[in-house]
Amino acid sequence: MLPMDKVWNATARISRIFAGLGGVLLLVAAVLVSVEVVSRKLLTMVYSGSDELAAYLFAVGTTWSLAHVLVTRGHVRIDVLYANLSPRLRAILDIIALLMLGVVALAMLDRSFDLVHSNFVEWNRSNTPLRTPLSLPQMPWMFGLALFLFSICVALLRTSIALARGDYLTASQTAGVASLDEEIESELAGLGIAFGKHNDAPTTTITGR
Amino acid sequence: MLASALVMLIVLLAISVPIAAAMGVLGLALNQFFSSMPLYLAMGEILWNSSSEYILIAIPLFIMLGEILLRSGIAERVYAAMAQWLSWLPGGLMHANVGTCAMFAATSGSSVATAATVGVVALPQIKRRKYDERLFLGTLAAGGTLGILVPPSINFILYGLLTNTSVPRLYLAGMVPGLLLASLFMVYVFVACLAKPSMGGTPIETSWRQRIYALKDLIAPLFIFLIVVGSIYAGWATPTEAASLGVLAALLLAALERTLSFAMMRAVLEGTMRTTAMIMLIILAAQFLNFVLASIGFTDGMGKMIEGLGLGKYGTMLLIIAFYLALGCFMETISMMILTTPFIFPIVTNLGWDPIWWGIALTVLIEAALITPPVGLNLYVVQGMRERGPIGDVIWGALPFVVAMMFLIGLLMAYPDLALALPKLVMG
Repeated sequence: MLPMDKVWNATARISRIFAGLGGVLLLVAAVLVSVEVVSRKLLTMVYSGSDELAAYLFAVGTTWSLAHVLVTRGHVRIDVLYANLSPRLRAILDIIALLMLGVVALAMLDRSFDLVHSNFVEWNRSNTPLRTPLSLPQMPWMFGLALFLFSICVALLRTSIALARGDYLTASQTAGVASLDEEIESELAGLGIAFGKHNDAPTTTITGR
Repeated sequence: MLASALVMLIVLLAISVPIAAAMGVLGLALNQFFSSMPLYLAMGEILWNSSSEYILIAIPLFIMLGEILLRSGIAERVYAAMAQWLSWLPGGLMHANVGTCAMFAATSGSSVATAATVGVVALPQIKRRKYDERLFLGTLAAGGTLGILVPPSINFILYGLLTNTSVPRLYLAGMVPGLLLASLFMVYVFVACLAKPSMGGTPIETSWRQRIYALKDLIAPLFIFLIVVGSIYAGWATPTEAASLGVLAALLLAALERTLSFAMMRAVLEGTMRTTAMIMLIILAAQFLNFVLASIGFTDGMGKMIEGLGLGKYGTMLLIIAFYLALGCFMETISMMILTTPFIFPIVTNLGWDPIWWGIALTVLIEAALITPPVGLNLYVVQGMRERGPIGDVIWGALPFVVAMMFLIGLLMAYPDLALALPKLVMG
């Protein structure tokens, strides 16, 4: 296996783990919010702040998942033109796409670093009863953006090397537009629905049991 | 400036730069060339504020709710129950298709997953009961789109955020048009099968005993629907709170169904976050672009240009509808909505259309985009689960339902109160 493939696979694994963790954070947010609603309505026991905590968990969970979307080619692109091009031209467009994504991710990281840095130095707190030091949730949030930029760089490198070698398959597997079939399949993954493969779909359950 | 911005956006999108990146790069470039102020400096603040926006948490939570429900095997049993109750109508199971899709759409909010789940159970019935294939496929593809018009639609939350409109109001406003559209679908099936009984297949045999027994399978989705939508309308939960409760209730149901497992939860969480991060990156880029567009006066310029066309309130609206139908042919729906709203919304409201009303009309247009070729996602979902046959069957089958949607748009234009009366009545 080429060293580049190893780096790529490791990146894919790490970003998947962080997406899963991001999901756990979101689940925790759901629990926090539910507990507050139920206690407010049923137990007349008032406590608050779950909205703020949930918002932080959501912000962090989201950026932690950005890299996973990139690696699984989930960022939406329009492929009307793309679909009709040669593999070589497609690979070139893939690289342009990654560069543009990279520019945006770099700008996002740069601006959020400034924000987090000043919030950390001045120890700014949120304007709420919790008075959370803002840099605390913002640091892991910014880490997600950094992971995203890192995965873009790895994808860019792998696609460029593949293009230079004329290995268009690897290029498209790294950064190509996922075909509609692939996209639907991933959306249905794990639903137990075989897409495009003609399984023996259940034929019972209609006439009662 | 107006022209160069639009040209740049179109070029970026045409060479298949990711939509989020295209919007972000456009924002950065406009700031560089057309702004006297360093708008770039505000980007960090904008990103963080949008990232931690409380109402947005409802989006991943509704996605998660749908994922849990679909992976817990509840859908199949709901379909069977619907079939028992609706199959005596001319058109038989096709009403169950629309009914189940409408119901699942109401709890999950994902059109694709809804069409797929119902499709798996329903498709084998075409041959067994000799239904007209095109009509049957059409009900599946179109039924799946109902999800974004009935609460808890994710599209309404996005629209509410982008345009500063109240999400509960949008939910209320979507109720009547959503039910109306589902009824239009069913009326079409009914009439088609009356006119040509051979389309309707053979009815399934059932008894009142079986029907009553099947009712219990409808309890689960009703339970979730009551928790989610009921708590919003009762005024004791925000959409985010309602979504949280819905997620926990769905987990409870999955546990009762004995389908809750580590592997299932892992698939749920990863699937949820993949969709969430995809949407959020577009939102973050859009928020920055909106800020730049507003600051450099682009939004005003656009409105003046359209006014200069002199088409009037209704003429311009027809033009905008045509624009969305064309755009919907080659763009995925959520990105289409986030991308166009900053440009189109000011025009629409300047013309005197109600922001809530436009939210509903836009959503119906997006539904139509889901079933118009070549990029009608639902068409491909249904096609992918068939055993054979050309995609043309699905496209032609879905076409009458697109006509029904256009009819609804016409009704909404003529009688805006179809959407606006309910929120006015309930919320004043």
